Amino acid sequence: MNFSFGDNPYKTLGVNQNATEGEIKHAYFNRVREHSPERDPEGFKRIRAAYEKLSAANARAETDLFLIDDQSADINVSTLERYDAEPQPITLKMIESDLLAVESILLLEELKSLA
Amino acid sequence: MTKKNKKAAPAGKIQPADLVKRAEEALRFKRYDEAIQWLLRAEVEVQRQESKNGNRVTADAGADELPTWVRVLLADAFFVRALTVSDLHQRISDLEEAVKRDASDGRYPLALGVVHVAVGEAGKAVEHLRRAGELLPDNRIAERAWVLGSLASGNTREVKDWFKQQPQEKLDANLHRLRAVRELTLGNPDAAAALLACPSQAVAGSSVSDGASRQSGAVGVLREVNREATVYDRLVCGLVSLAAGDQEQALKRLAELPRRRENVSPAERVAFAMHLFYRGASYFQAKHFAEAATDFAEAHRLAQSLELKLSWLGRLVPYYHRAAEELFATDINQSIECWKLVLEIDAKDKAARANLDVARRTEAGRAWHDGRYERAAELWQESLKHHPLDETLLKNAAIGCEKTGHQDQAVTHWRRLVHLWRPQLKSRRDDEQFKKQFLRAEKHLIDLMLEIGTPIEDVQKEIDAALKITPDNKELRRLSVEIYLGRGRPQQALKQLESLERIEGESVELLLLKGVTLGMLNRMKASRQVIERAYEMEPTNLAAQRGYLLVLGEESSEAHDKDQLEVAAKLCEQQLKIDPRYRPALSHLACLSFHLNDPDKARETIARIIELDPTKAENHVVAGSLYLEHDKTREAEAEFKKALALNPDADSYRRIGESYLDARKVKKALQNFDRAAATGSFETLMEIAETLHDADRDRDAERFIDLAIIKDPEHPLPHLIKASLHVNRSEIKKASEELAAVERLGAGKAELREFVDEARSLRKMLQQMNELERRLKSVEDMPGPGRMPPELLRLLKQLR
Repeated sequence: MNFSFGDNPYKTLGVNQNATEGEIKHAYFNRVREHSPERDPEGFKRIRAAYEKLSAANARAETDLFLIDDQSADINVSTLERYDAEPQPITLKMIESDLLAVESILLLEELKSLA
Repeated sequence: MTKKNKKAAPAGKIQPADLVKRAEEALRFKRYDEAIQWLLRAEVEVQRQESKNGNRVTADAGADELPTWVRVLLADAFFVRALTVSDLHQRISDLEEAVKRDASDGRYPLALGVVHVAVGEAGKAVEHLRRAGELLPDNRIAERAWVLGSLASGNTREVKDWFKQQPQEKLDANLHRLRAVRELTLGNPDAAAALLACPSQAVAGSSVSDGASRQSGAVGVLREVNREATVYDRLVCGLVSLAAGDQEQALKRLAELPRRRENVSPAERVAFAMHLFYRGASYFQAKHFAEAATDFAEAHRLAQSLELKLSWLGRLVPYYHRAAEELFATDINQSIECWKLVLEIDAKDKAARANLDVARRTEAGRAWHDGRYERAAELWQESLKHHPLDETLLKNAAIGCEKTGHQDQAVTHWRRLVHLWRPQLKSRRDDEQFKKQFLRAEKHLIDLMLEIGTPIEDVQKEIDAALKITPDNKELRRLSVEIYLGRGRPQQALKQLESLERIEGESVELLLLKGVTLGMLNRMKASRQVIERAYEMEPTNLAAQRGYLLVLGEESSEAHDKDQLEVAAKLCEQQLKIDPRYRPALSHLACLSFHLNDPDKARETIARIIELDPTKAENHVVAGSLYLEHDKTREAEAEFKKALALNPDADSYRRIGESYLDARKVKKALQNFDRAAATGSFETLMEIAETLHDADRDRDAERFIDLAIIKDPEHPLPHLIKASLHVNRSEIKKASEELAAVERLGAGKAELREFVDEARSLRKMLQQMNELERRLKSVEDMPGPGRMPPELLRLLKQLR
């Protein structure tokens, strides 16, 4: 395997996947300011790695190709298509007709004894 | 049968009586379809003969009854088949056939009426059930069926009168349930509950009527019923509470689902399924959506297994939709299952399809994020079945499959994706990022295809297709060169190399590759020029240096062969200027110096070889070999001794043996080979055998091959070599035996496939040899004027 399925570098830098080079750079410097190497060396490493994956065009193409599109993971119930009909309330008639159906199947079973 | 009739029957036609016998035989073994086929044929035949003979089939004794017997038997066959098929409409059709043929048997209208009730056609049932009642007076099943039909068609008053007339002891559990259903029909759920003696009488607000309490004796009957009845009783009890509007009690009763046994009857399964449906509905009302969805799904599965059109199945869809929506945030997998089930009921349900797609993608994304890669890949692949051209899904599925080790599937998805992307390249020519991604994807696909062992022809086709779209894809062109060279197709490789040169200009790497390719095409001069150019372009480049040293070495050898010894020596000096430690050049120069009568220079050069690393046995063997070649036996043996002192292993003995063999001192060579064989590995033994074979000493070689077989009895290589030695000596039978050993040892082992393939091609050759031999023999033996001229015969023998 010559690629890695690591963290999403766009999320690490807090930018959109369509972000321009300038936007990526800007986001990187902002992040570095928040997580300087002195204060948060691990955080800085992560941010630096994310930036390296997106700063060069070839690296970004490679990153994009092997990046899972998991935007749909954030979808909520309001985005669902609504089904119009509501469940029918259970009526006496329904129960009666269903019970008769059961009784008829039971009778059919018993009819086998007459075969 | 009359003699006349027998004669009249066309050849191959079976008489009705025989058809009936066959049908009876089929019925005995419960092959109802077959029995019906025979009887239908018999029926047609009987009708044909009746019309021909004026309604008389035959004049045989007892044959008068045959038409009636055919009809009766056919009616019975339809009846028994109707009771076994699961499709209710098929049942109706069979029972109608039965009724049509035998109107005197009450079982047929009885069954037909009941099936009509089961499919909700109560109107059609009434007449059949009335007729059944007439034909089967005092039959308990017929009576129950009549009550059922009457209730289904709304004749509750008649049913009430009938119940009034029945003696108490006649009212069994089955009739009590029907009576309870009647009470429900009349809107008296409490009375129904009382009739059934449900586990708790405390139905909210219920007041058991006097009429109902009078039935307590009958309740005893219900309690006494066998275990099979339990499922119906519990169901009816639960539904009675539901009908009474007591959700809590209904849920409590329905929650007590009886334990399901194996091999339950269809009727029990119907009751179970309905029980689950109503329990699900009760859970739903109580907002227990997960439990509701589970019950609905199980009810659904059970109903499907029955292939019965149950009325509540149609009511499931809105329940599934609402449950799925409610569960989306907390249990998305259950939502997925709900929408899947909706689509099983109605494949055209757009909302279910759209929401299922969203849910699958959402869950796949979450699964990926949580490290549940298998699940993510599974869901993306499921979605792909419905959206095969969705690029995002293809990419996600490809990555998911790769991550979970399903490389074959990953290749399928990557391949589809690049095939979708290829035509887009033109319209998106300004999208640099897309182009880069596309090129990377193409390369990745090819790498993966190679990794999983896709047939190289397919890989090549994929590369060619990609290069048509992106001729400037340097990576793929390089890969193509490698593949063509690997497949022994230097001409195509050269074409790719020239294209590469046009795209990226001349480079050391390309020139070296071109040199190798030209060498494979036997264009030696051009090859040398190209490699020399590579060296001139970058003399410090190690690969170019190595290539140029080889070229000079070849030129030097050629000069040596032409007896241009001084030219050859100069070329060696040129090699040593590039690399003073280049041992092949030192060896050759030492050899040339002996030939040029300059033993001092030869000795000095040999000393340089040893100085390369005096502790390395191999250098002393090379030195000894050079002395031996020029009859300096004493010096040679001294060097061999030093080599063995430094490293007395099998490899040293083998090399010394080779030196003696080169100097045609066979006895000494074999002595050293034997010493090497005493401790040598399988590989050493095979190398010795190869050396001896090259020196035309096949018999000696065979001895070492046999030792190799003892060393590794499972390896097919020694057998393959032995087979080829036998072929050379025309020992067909022995060769065949060795080839069989190769095939046996290599069978089912991928890593040994090349040996098996080789053995097969050798066997094919053997067969061709045999055929040629046979034909030659027939030509030789040909008598008379057709005989072959003696010159041609001689030629054929030579060919042989």
